[in-house]
Amino acid sequence: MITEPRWVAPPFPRLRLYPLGGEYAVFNPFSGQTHFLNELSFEVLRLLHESGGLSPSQIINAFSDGNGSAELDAFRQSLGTHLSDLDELGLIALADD
Amino acid sequence: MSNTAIDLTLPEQPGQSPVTFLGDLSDHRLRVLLRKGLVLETGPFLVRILADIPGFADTLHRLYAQSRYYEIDPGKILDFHISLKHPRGPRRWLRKQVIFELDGYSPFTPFPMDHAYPLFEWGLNWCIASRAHQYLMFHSAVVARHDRAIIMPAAPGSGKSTLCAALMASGWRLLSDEFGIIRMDDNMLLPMPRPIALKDASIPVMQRFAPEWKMGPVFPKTRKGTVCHMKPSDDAIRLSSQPATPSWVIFPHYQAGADAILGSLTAREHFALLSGNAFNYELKALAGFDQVARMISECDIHTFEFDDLTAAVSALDQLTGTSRNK
Repeated sequence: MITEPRWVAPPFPRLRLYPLGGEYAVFNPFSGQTHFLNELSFEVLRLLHESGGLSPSQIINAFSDGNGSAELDAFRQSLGTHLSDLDELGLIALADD
Repeated sequence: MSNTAIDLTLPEQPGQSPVTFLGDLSDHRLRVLLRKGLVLETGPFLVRILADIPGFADTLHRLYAQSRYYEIDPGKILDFHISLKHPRGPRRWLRKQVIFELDGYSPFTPFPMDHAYPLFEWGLNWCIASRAHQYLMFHSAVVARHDRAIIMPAAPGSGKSTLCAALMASGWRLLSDEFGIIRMDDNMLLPMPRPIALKDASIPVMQRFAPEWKMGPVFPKTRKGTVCHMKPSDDAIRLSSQPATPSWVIFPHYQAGADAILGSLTAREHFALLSGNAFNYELKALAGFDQVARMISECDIHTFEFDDLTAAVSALDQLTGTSRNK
């Protein structure tokens, strides 16, 4: 059985966050860089932090309220991009499972 | 005992040297002191200047007349040791040049001798931007009224120096035309009122706007075009140890024909613009991030397109609810 990779985020206290009216400025002390996240990317980041690491399916389940919706379908399709972008920014990484 | 006709030795002074103003010196005395090394106080910085370049002392005398200087050790650490020197070789005599040194190192290629004064100003800017990392520094003009400051971050060519000059000439206190210097301990803007560098078309514009204001000589054909410097106001120098609270952030943009219009962007765009205009934002790391976040939170922020300076000054007076008489 193929298991999905899990994504993990560094502990939130190490990232400094500043809300910007629906977006967030994020300072990553590991890289010294400042990034801007939309609300969805921020929620993915927060979810990974709170959970200690999730696979893409688990992330989608966490966002779902059990009902299918057009929004959820769109999120499912864009999740890979969100994860890839966050990874590229150094804000998340694949877990060493 | 000296056998020279002119004794250049300064008498020993007990304790700290007395503070005096550059304008109190005669032209001759200033040239003598510059050949030995004179310490100039400009805002939070003490700058030792060593120079024996024709014309330089006269312009310095005119534009820094109200600035404090020290002949000998002021009892404090000096921030920068600057020299303006003749280069070695034929350029000492043919098509004469001048070089700028900081602590014996020359960061720039030689300039024509006639451009010694603009070289000094640009060189000092470089010294501050590359070394003064105890502060968070914005590439911006800063003016204040009642100790509340407008900080105007902007790229070169935006018109910020011209707008800053017009505001100063209209009664605003100049803190700087080039640097927004934030003291990290208390988030206050520190003054560093130096001559305002005007370029090209801005020069006749300001000569018309403030015809009686004291200006330095015009330097044509410099690396940044034609340059002229506007003397800081007496109030600006007198209050150069009085910080100001960042209260408004204005991103200026000169646009021919534009009405003086204040606009706004998204909070994200404000954050990106403000942090992007900080010389040492990344170097200051988390402290820089926190400071920018604080300014986003506490300051009234606008973009500002302008053409006519009278209208621009009026618009900013209205925005800030201040006027010369308040």
